Amino acid sequence: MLSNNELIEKFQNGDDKAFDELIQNNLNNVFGFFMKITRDEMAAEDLAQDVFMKLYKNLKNFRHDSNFSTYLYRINTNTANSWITRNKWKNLLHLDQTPDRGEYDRVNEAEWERKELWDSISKLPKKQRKVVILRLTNSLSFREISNITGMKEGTAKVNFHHALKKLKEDLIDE
Amino acid sequence: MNKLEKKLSKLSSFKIRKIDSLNFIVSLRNRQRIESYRKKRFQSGFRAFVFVSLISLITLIQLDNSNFQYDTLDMVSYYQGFDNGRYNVNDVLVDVDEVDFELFLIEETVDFDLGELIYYCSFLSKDIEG
Repeated sequence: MLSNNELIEKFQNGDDKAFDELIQNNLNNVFGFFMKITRDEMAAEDLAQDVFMKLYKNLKNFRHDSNFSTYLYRINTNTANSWITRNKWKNLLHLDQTPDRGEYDRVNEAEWERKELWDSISKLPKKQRKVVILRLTNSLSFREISNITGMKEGTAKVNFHHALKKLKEDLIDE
Repeated sequence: MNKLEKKLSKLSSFKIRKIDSLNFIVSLRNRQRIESYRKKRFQSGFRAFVFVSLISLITLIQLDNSNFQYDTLDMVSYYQGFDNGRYNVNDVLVDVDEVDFELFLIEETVDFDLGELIYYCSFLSKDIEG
């Protein structure tokens, strides 16, 4: 089985099949990343497709300056960020109304909490949101987060701290 | 990880089933095909729009440069004007001032003598009256 870097090189030399192999190597990671955010298989698959479409367009210009996994995480985070922003507007316009908590049974309790959490995350500033997504969905270290987002490790920590504070306030208020 | 962080982490962690990669690749390729078709359709539409705009612009510039307007009635000859009723002999003659007519004849035909001039004038006034 070829490594990601070898597959990328093959793809850059015109072998389109190498891209299919690259998908097979990374699909479950990408799909899992979005499943944790959306908890909806259809939405997660759509977002994963968005990621691989972007990858297909941009991989020819990939110069191996950074690790491929870091590059992929960056695309994942940006795609997730756009999805959260899109959903935020959808919620604001009441296109996807959440019923009152009282209407939910115990089975849906966790789902309600999860929705509430992502609604609160959508209210965070972009930088804080990126750090939270990476920390919560993949439990990445701040060093890894700093590599992916391009911000300093300390900045990532501070952003995460502020984000947690806001989330705590927001979730307790609700 | 602190307590809240752990709680949040727990909320977003659960068992995820594996996705069928072959089906995923097929649907991705289909989507790529649809997007490339859409892109091509947009590009050809845009090119057609630019072409039509360019032709319209050129036509407008040409119209702008002409300092006269065409009137289809002006294209009809003077004689045809009498045939189709646009002009009336009496109207035309009434419109002509006698003095102007005399001056015109003097300017156009130097060889006219006074006798001839009086003759033409009397002929003209008779025509108007009669």
